[in-house]
Amino acid sequence: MDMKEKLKKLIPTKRKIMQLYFALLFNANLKGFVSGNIYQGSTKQFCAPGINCYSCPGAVGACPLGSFQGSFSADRSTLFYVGGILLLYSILFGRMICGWLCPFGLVQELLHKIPTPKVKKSPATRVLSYLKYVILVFFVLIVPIMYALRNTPLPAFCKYICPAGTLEGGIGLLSNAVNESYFSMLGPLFTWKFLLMVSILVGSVFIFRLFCRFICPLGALYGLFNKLSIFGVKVESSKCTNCGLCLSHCKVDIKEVGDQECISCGECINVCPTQAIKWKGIKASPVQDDGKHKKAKLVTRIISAVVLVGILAGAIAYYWQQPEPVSITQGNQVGELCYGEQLKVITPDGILEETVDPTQTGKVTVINFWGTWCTPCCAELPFFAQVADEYGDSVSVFAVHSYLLAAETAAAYVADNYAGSNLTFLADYAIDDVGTSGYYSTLGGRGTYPYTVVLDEDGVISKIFVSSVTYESLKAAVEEAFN
Amino acid sequence: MNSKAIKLLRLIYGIAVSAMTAVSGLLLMAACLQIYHSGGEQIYTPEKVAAAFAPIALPVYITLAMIAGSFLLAFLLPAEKKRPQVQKQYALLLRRAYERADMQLCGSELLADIRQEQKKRRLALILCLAVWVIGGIVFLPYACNGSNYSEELHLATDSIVAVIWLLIPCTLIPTICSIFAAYYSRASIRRELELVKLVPKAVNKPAPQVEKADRKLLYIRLAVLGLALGVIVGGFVAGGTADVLAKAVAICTECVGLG
Repeated sequence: MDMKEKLKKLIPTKRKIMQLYFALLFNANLKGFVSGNIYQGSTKQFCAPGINCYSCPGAVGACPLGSFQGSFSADRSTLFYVGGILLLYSILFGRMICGWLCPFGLVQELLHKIPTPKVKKSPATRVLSYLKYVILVFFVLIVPIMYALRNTPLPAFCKYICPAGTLEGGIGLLSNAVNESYFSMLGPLFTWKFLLMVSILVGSVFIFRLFCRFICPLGALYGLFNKLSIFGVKVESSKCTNCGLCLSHCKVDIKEVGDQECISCGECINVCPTQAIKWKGIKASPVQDDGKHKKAKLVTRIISAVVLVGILAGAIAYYWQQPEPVSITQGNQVGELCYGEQLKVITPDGILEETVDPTQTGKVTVINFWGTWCTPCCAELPFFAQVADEYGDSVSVFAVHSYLLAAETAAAYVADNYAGSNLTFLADYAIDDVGTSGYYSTLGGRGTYPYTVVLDEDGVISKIFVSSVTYESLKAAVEEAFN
Repeated sequence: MNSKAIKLLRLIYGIAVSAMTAVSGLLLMAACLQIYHSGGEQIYTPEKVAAAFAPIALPVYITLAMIAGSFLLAFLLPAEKKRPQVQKQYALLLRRAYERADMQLCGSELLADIRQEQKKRRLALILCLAVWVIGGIVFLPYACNGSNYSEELHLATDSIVAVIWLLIPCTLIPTICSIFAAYYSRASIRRELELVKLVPKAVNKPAPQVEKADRKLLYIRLAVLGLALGVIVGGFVAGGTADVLAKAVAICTECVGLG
């Protein structure tokens, strides 16, 4: 093999370039990797097609799977919207999304490039490929629906399994020094997810697309529509000689080209001796590939490349100049006099015009930022209510609902669960406008919930919890504020 | 260097890289567990993480260097280009064999053997399905019973783990059965293939009919596409995006596994 041939082998394939392109496009908020903040703008109301965690600092869209699990606990319109998007992606592309658009698929494929002995597909891996349907049914449907029936979102797949969330969201946020406070929230759940992520990533070196083939519920969902999808690969049965070269060459557990396991990578197209395998849908290039139109083909390619690069560069530039959530420089750190704001009161009847500044009570004060969409926030609220009841007049406990746009209304939740409680519920004043930050951000919140600030009698911040609290830890913080 | 030596060198190096990759993965996991078991008021701190991961930096760097080396080796000493190895696709071969064979000329004894083989395979499949159905019958009513999930949200994980403990055997046993059935099925297809090969070949068997373009598929696609777009527009107009946005910009840390 001469040098020219060797160098030619180093050029990435068209598919790899597209995978990298879409990984960058879906994570175009490069500023987030520098600042350590997640993007909070309006494009996050749209779901990206592949697994791409929305807690990744670079993510500019929502994860379809996370949104789908969350939609069960929201009103019907959200379920329609997210379900419709999933259906649209499925009918358009099927599992072609896995092969061409999914950033986590790219990560696994790059790891699999490491030259080591590989585990080949077999009848056993074919059987194991059905496990992702079990995961789809239990973690994506049953558990979220069971908790949605109690008006609580619990995205079980994201919480207990998703390695893309740990890698992009968890490690992505923790690796930035400004998020040092996030370490305080890590515990058994993170340990489990880190172990799982490392296992999957190491496994991907030896097993082609380990996660996609055996675990990914999104791939399972898209796979159901593979034969029906408009784009993808198909076999012209009149030309097929059943030689089996396509199946031998394929690295995933297909029984035939285009079945529910096929990720439409298109590699079988090149190995088919009778050219029986073709792309479905429109032709990839409007210029015929017959050797006579080489110049026209080159021009088409250059134009396509310029347009694609232009879109990516435009997206990166757009997100780079987006404003960051506003945080003050004084009044939101431990030991500083807490910055105050007048916030509207939430009662079981609704949001009142009456306002309260939680920093001006002259007592030890607990300010908890929560949301009805946040399971751990709802889970820890009873501890705040308990502390409010126990300390009575000597401690003021405020629960500031941070996001009024969420479909579940805070007032209804308060009416159902805390009608006679000593907790004072407040509404964060500005966060109902997309992309703006409220009192939560002013007090140093960085887009993650729950978040709790404890003040002493002088209004000085004595403790900040950047994670869930337990009754014991909250009580200890209150006692510390008294001292 | 001859091709055999290159192949051997690459194999040995590949095994070494595999071992180091696996060891690095295990070390990363061990470091994480070490931090977790260290306890304290705050389990993870940047200092603890630095202290636990520092000792494994050297083996991880060595692994990374070895991986880089393996790419260099692949570049400098590429494997000999060989024709793609065709794994025998017995199901396809069987289909082809049936296309060629004239089953009317098949002897009754041979036919009985073929039917027997098919019957055994069907039985294996039915048994397998039965195990899955039993697993489903045991698991699904339990998993879909709301009372098995704790009302107290801070105990949600414990109750979900309890359901997972039931899910594991209900999935593992059918999976193991399916793996055995899959291997048995493959062996059975091979046996059937050998039998079908004994059937005299058809002389003038008509060529398989060319499938006509399926218009039905087109209508189904259009219907699903229309439904998807309708549902999206309906959801969008009714404000369905607000909840998606809320959950995507205000991250519930526990929901993404941070804690």
